[in-house]
Amino acid sequence: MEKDLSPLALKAKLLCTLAWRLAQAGAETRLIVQSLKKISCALDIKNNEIGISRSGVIVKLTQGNEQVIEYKEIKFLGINMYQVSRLHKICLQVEKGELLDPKQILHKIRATRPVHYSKNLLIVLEAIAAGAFAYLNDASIAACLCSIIGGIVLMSTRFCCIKRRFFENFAFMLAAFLGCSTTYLCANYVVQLAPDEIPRCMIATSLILVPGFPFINGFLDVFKGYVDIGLIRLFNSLVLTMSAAIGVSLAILLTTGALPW
Amino acid sequence: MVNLIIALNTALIEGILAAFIAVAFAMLFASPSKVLVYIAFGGFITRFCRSFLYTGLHFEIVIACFCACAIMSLLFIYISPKLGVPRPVFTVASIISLIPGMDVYHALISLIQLIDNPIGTTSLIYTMFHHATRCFSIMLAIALGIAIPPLFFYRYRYAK
Repeated sequence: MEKDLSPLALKAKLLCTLAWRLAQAGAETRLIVQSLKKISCALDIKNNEIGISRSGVIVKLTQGNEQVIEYKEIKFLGINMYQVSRLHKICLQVEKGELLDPKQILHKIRATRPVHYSKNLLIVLEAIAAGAFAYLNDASIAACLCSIIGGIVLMSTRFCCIKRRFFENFAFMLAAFLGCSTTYLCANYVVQLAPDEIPRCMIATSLILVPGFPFINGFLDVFKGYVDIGLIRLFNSLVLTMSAAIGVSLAILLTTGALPW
Repeated sequence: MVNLIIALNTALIEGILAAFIAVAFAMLFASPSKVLVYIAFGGFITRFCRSFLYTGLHFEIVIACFCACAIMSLLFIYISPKLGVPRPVFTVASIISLIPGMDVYHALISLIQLIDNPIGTTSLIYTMFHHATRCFSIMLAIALGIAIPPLFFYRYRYAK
């Protein structure tokens, strides 16, 4: 399909695809803009205008009498740091002059796919991380073990919900609720921890749901002047945190017997 | 001196645990496997600095968090261009262990009790606001700690 495109249209397509892929992989807005500027400079594109919002990327290139506008819709702001790193490497190659053919660059950009680690490995690692969180919050070894068990349930629920294409907010809520409830059951009935230690391991379990990337990316975007997209990211992280908090609150209400019925 | 050694020891143990947490989070967000060692190091340094400043040198928790994040951010300003990997890949995973979970819990519990129990409202409001403000301050310190150091090293984005 690229055979029919003019050189300028091909460059516009290249820039737009790169920005779109970076945005969908969870890159910071400044990184996207800088990457586009680097590639524009390396490919000798002088008149370029780039717009990035939550909903899409628009690139306008002008050369003599020819003008090309390329738009791509951003359907979601996911997180995949492997893809961000790969795309960044391609930008560095272009900047160094190792890669200058627009068709080849576009092909390389399109060839980058999100890569994920094994789900089972992640469940185990995140569960141990929950145990580590409990230890960092001054919990005993027994409480850490309860957090690990709760963490396994929490991460399994989260992955299961995402696999079944439930909303992310619902997945967070359900995962926090089931994870914290399991931790409570282990702590109260199996290990029989002291009452003041049970909340520590319950909250440590839910800490593995912290939406770190949306929060920090959002803050960095706001701080660096991309207020609109930054606020959207911050609100997204806030909504996810609130969803997890609802799950944790429900678990606390259930386990402390404070439910109104 | 003895207190300082105990604080150093505690900070070391916490740092090792934080390194593991950082790697676990980095893997959840699919960070490349070859940078996981650096992320572990980042997590270790961040928690180690925070704990040592807080328990050893008796810094205020918010300032300790800010200093720890700023040190880690400075470290990755140097390391990330050498590896050709964007900085947020390292920095975000490294700070996860500083998230103030217990403060969130206390604020949440106070809120729930406030709804259920009208007696002792003043102390509940005080507890809720105290922990919520502390939590917000720590989060802000973490974000500023990451965002401020690069300003001294990178040019203004509209510069030609």
